[in-house]
Amino acid sequence: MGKPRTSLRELALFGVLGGLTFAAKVAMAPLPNLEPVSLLVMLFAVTFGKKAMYPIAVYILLEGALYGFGLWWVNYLYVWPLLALCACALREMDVPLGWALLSGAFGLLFGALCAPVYLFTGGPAFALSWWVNGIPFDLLHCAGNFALALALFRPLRRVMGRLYG
Amino acid sequence: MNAKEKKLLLAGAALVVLMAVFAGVWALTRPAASEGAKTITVEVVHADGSKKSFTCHTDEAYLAEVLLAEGLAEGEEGAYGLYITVADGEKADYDADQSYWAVYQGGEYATVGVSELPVNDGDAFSLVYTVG
Repeated sequence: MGKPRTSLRELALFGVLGGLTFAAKVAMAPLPNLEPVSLLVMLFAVTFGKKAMYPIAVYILLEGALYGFGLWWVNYLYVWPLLALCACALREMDVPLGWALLSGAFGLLFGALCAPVYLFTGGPAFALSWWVNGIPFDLLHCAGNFALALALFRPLRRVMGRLYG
Repeated sequence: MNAKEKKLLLAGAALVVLMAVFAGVWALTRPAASEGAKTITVEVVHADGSKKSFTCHTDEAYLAEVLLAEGLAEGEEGAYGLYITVADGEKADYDADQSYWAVYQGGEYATVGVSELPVNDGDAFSLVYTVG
C-alpha cells in the first residue's frame, strides 16, 4: 500500500487549525476591522504549501455553517485561496515587513475583490457603489492587517513550524 | 540599500499610493447630505406583510439618527454603524431565524448602512423584515 498523500495526523491538524481560525475570528469580532484570518491564511500557505487549502476549506465551511451560505460566502470561496496562493508564491520571503505589506494590501483590496460577485446580482453600478462605500472599512482592514502581520508573523511562523515539524 | 530593501520600499510606497487613491475615490464620490428642514417618509414592512408609513421632519444628516430620534428603530452599534434589530416595535433576530431589517431607499436596496445613508428632502426609505 502506498503512503497516503495526506496523513491522518495532518488531517487532524488541519481540522483543528481551521476551527481555531474561525474561533479566533469570532473572538476578535468586537474589534472593528481587525481580523486574524489573513495572517493565519498566509502562515498556512507558507507552512503547508498546497495543503494549506485544507484548513482554509474548514474555516470557510464553518463560516457558512454558522452564518449561512449567502452571497458573501461565495466571496470567501476565492478571496482566501487567492491570498494563500500569493503567500505560497512568496513563501521564501523572511522579512516580517514584506508579510505585513502583503496582508495590508489584501485588506485594502478586500472590498474590490469581493465586489465582482455583486456584478451578477445588482449589475456594475451596484458592484461599484458597494465597493466605493466600503473603502473606509478597507482602509481600516489594511491598517489592522499590516499591524497584526508585522507583530505576529515571525513568532507564529515559528510555532507553525514546530507544529508541522 | 540592497535589492531586497529596495523592493520592500517600492512595495510600501505602492501600498501608500493605493491607499491615497482609494481614499480619494471615496471622498470624491461620497454622497453629500444636505442640512436644514427635510421631510422624509419611512415605510416599515412587517413580518406579516403589513405596512406602516411614517413621515418625519428632520434636520439630521443620516437615516440612523432620524430612526433613533423618532423612536422608529432600535439597534446595536457595530463596525458598520447602527445595526437595526427592532423597527416599529418588531424584533428581527438573525441568530434565531436569519431574519433582519433590510433597508431600501427609493425602492433600491441600500448599499450602505443606515449610519451612512444620507437624508435629503423628499427621500423615501423602507425597512423591510427579511428572512435569509
